[in-house]
Amino acid sequence: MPRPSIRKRLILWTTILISIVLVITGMILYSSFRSSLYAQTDRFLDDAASVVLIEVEVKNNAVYHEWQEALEKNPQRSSETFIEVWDQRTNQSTRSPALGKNSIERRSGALNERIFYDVTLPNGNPGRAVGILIYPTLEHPEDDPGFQVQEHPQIFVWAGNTTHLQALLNKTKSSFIIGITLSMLLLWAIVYQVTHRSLAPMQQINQAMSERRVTEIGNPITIPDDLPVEIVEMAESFNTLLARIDVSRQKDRDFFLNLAHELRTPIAGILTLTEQSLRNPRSAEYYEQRLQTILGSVEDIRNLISRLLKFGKINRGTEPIDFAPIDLSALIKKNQSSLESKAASKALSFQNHFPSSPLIIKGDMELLRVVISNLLENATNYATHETSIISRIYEDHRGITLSFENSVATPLPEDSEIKRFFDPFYRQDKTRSRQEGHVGLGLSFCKDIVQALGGSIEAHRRDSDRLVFKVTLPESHLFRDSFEI
Amino acid sequence: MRVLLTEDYPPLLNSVKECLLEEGYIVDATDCGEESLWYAKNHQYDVILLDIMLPGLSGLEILQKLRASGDNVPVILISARDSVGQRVEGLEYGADDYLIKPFALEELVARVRTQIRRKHHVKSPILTAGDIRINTATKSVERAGHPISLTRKEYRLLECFVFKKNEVLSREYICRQVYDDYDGTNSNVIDVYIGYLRKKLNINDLPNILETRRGYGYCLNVSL
Repeated sequence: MPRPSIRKRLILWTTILISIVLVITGMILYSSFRSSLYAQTDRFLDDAASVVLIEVEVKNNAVYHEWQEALEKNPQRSSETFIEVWDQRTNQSTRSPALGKNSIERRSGALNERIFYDVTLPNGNPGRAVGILIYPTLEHPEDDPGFQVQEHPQIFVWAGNTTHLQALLNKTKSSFIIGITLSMLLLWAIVYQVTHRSLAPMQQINQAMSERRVTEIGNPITIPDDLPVEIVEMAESFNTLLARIDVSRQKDRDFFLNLAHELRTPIAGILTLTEQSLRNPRSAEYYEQRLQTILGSVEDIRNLISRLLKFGKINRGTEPIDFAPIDLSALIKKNQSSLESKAASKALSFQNHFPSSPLIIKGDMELLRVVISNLLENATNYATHETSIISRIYEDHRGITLSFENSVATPLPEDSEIKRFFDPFYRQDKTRSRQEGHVGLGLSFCKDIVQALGGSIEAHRRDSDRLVFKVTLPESHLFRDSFEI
Repeated sequence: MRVLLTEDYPPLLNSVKECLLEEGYIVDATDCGEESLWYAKNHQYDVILLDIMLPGLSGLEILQKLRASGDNVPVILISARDSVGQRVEGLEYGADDYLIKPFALEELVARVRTQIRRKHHVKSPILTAGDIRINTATKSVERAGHPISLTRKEYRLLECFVFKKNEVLSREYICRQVYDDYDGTNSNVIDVYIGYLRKKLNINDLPNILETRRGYGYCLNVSL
C-alpha cells in the first residue's frame, strides 16, 4: 500500500476546497447578476404594461382595446410588441399584430398583481412576460351607465424579447466558467508551489540527515533562520534525539576506551614480563616464577573478559533470569560471613536492621548474590577502620529496599559525581585501586542486574563521611503469604 | 642514573623495574600516586616514568604538582589511553614523552636514555669526555681507542662523571647515583669503587683524569 503524501494531500484537498468555494461563489454571482438583469427587465415590462393596460377601456358598454390604435400608428413598434389580452368572461383574446395567430402563455395572480415569467415568442426567441389580472378602465361612467367592470375581468399579458438578455447571460456564464477554471488552474499552481516551497526545508533536512556520516550523527543539524516554525519544532525534536543518541554513543565510546585501557595494562604486563625474561639467559626458577606471574596476568584478563561477557549479556537482556523465593536477610548474612576475615583485619563490625519476620522475595538468587556481595565488599574495602557497616531491609511505598551504609576516610564527592559510580569502568582514583582487583565494572554490573530485576539502585552521602547504597525492588517481588524455603 | 617508576599493575611494575635495573639504572618503584610524589620531591631523578591511572594521586596530578613546584625532571607518561586528545593532554601537563601500553621494553629503555641525554644536553648516544668514549646503548666504554670492561656499578659511576665532566661531585651525590638504597651511611665505600674505576681508566699508562678533590669529592678532569 503506497504511503500517504503530505504534498499530494495538501494540493488535492486545498484545490478541491477552494474550487468548491470558487464554483459556489461563481454561481452566486451569476445568479445575482441574472436576477438583477431580470429585475431590470421586469421593471421595464411593468412600466410599459402599466402604461398600456389602462388602454383597455370600456366604450359603448364593451371592452375596447385602445392600445391597438397606437400600434397601428407605429408599425415598427407594432412588430416588436407582444400583447395579448384575454377576456375572462368570454375567454376570447385580443393580440398585437406581432403575435399573429400565436398565443402567449397566460398567467395571472390576484387583481393588479404582476406575475413575471419566461416565455417563448412566436418567432422562437426567448421572451419575458408579465401577466396582470385587471378590470377595463371606465373613463366615463356616465357614457356607459350600468357597466360593471368587475364582470369583465381581463388578463393582460405583455411579452418582451429577451434575446439580448439571454445572450448577455450566456456570455456572462461562459466568462464565469472560464474565469473559475482559470482561477482553479492558477490556484492549483500556487498551491503546488506553496506546498513545494513549504515542504522544501523538510526535504533539505531529510537530505542533510541522509547524507550525514556515522561519525557526524551526534552533531545537531543546523536550523536555518528562515525555517518555518512547524518544521523548526520537528528539527529541534530531531536534534534532541540526536543529542540523546550522542550521549548513548559517548557512553559506548567511553566503555570501549576504558575496556581497551583495562585490557592493555595486563597485556603490557605480559609483554614486558616475557620480553624481560628473554632479554638474558635465566635460571629455571626465574622462568617458573615469571610464568606464574604471566599466568596471573592472563587470569586478570580472563576475569575481565568474563565480567564483560556477563555485563554484555545482562545489558542485551539475554542473560536468563531465574525467579525463585529468596530470604533477603539470610542472603545478606551469608555474604557478611564470607567477608568476616577482611572486616576483622580492619576491626569492622556488621550491624543489621532487618524486619522481625523474614522478607521473602521473588528474584534470581545468583544475580542478587552478585549485587549484595559487590555492595558489601565495596563497603568493607572502603570503610574507615573500627567502624560499622550497617545493612538494612525495609518495606515502604516504593517497594522493598536493601541499604548498605559505611563511613569513608577520604572526602566524598558531590551526589552528582556519586551517580557516576555506576558508569562502566568508573574509578574514583582516590578510593579504588587496581591492586584490589577493581576495574570499575562492579557497580555498573549491579545497576544492570537490579534493572533487569525491575528495580533501581542509587547511592548518596549521609552526613559528610558516610556513603549509602540503596537497592529497591518492586513490591510485586514480595511474597505476601508465608513461605517455606 | 636514577629513575622513578610509578605503575599500579604489579606484574608490569616489577618487569619494568627489573629491566631498568639490568640496564644499569637505579630504580625507585612504587604503585601509589602519593608515594610517588613524595619520592619525586625528596630525591633527584634523571627520569620519572609515570602511569596516569593511579590510586591516590593520578599521574597527571603528580606531574602538575611537580611542574608547579619548578621541578623540570624529565617525565615519561605511561598510559593505555591512546587517543590524540589524551596524549596531547598529557604533554600539555608538562610531560616530556608519552608511551602507550602495551609497549616494547626496548622502546621504553631507548626513550629513557633519550630523556637522560636530553637532560644533559647530549644528542648522540655516544658520550665523550676527553679520550673517554661511552656508548650508552651498548654500555661499552673505550679510552683512547682501548676497550675497557667495567662492572655495572663502575659503569654507572663513569656515566655519572661523564655527564658531569669537569664538575666536582660529592660522595653523597655519587652514592645516590650508584646505590639503589643509599642511606647516607656508606659514602666511604665509594672511594673503593673510585679506586677500581681509576685503575681501569689508567690503561696503558694513560694519565689519571679522575681526580680527588680533598674535602669536596671527585672530578673527571678532561680539560688537561
